[in-house]
Amino acid sequence: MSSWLTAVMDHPDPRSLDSVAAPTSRATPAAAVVTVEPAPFARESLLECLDKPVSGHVDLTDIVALDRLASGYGTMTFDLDGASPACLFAFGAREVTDRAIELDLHEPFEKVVVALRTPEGRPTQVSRGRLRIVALGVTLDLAIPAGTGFGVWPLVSLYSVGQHVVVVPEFDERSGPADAVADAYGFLAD
Amino acid sequence: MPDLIPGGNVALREVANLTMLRIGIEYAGGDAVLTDRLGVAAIAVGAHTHHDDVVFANQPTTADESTRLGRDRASVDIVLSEVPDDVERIAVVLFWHPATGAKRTLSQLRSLRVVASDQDGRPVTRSRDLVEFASSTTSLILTEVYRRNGEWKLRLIAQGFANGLPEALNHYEVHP
Repeated sequence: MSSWLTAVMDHPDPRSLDSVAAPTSRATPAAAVVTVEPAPFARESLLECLDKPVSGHVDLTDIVALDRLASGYGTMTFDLDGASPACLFAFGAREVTDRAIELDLHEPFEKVVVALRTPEGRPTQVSRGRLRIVALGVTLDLAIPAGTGFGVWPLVSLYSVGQHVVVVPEFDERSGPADAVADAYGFLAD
Repeated sequence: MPDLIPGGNVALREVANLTMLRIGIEYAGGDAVLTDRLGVAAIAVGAHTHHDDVVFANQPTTADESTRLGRDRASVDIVLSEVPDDVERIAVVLFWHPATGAKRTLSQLRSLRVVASDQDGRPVTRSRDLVEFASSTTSLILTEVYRRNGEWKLRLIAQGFANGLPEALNHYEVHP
C-alpha cells in the first residue's frame, strides 16, 4: 500500500496536505515474482479524482472516487469473471463465494484490498478475466491480464477518504503468501 | 396542539423566537437488523437538486451548514435563517440501510413519530404514529420544511417507498 495515501487517509482534508509526497517505491511484497515496479499514483491523481467522483459505467484504469451516495449506501459487490483457476480473496471485506466479495458500506472502513488467490508456493497460470465492482449507480470494470500467480495477487485497494470511497487499481504484478501481501499492504497488526 | 396527520402543516412563524428547527425521529420496536441500520437523510430541494444537497451518513451537513444531522443521527437540525434562498424545501427521510441476506421494512417498527422542537428543545409539534404508513417500505419521507410566501412551514408527508433511499431521492429528482 502506498504510505502517502495512508497519510492522506489520516488527515481530515487531503487538500491541505502539502507536505505529503508520493513515495518513490512501494513496500516490498512477499515472495513471488518481481517484475516491473508499477508507478505509484501521484497525490495529484487523488485530488483530481476527489474533485470528479464517478458514476455510471467506468473502465477502471486509473484511481477513481465514487460519488457520495455510492460511497455511503448499500453494499459494494465484487464479482470475478474469468481469471481461471484463481478465486477472489479480500482483506477487510466479506467473501461470499470464491468469486464474489461484498463490502457493507453501512459499516465504516479504512481500507480494503481485493485480490486474486492461487495456491501458494507454486506457480499457477491464470487466464485473462474481469473484476466487476458495483455500488449504487456505479459499475467499475477492471481488466485482468493473464499471468502467473504465486498466492495472493492484489487487484484493487479501496480507501475511505472523507466522504468518498477511493478505488485504486493496483496493477500489482507481484503475488505471494497471504501474510506477506497483508504486511506489504499494511494489514498485519504490530 | 393535536398530533399532526399526513398532509397537515404548521406555520413556523407562530413559534416564538424560533431560530433552529430540530426534526427528531422517535421509534420503538424492531430487531437489531432493522434498528441498527436505520438512517436519516435530509434533502435540500431547489430548482436543481444535486448529490451535494443530500445530507446523510457520510456528509452530515450541507456545504453552508444550515442543515445537518443531529449528533444522535436520528434528527435533523435546520437553521432556518441560514438556508440559502434557492432552497425551496428540506425533506427529511427515514430509511433502512439494505443488508445482504436480510429484508426488513419500516412497518416492522412498533411505533414511529416525528417530533419537532426549537433550539432550546421546546416542542413545536409532533406527528401521530406513522407506522401504518410504512407498510412494505424501506424509506419514508417524513416531513418537508418549506417556504410559502417568505415564511417557513412544516408539513407532515409520510410517503413511503419500497426501494430504499434511492427511490426517495428519485422523488426529488436526485438520481444516484
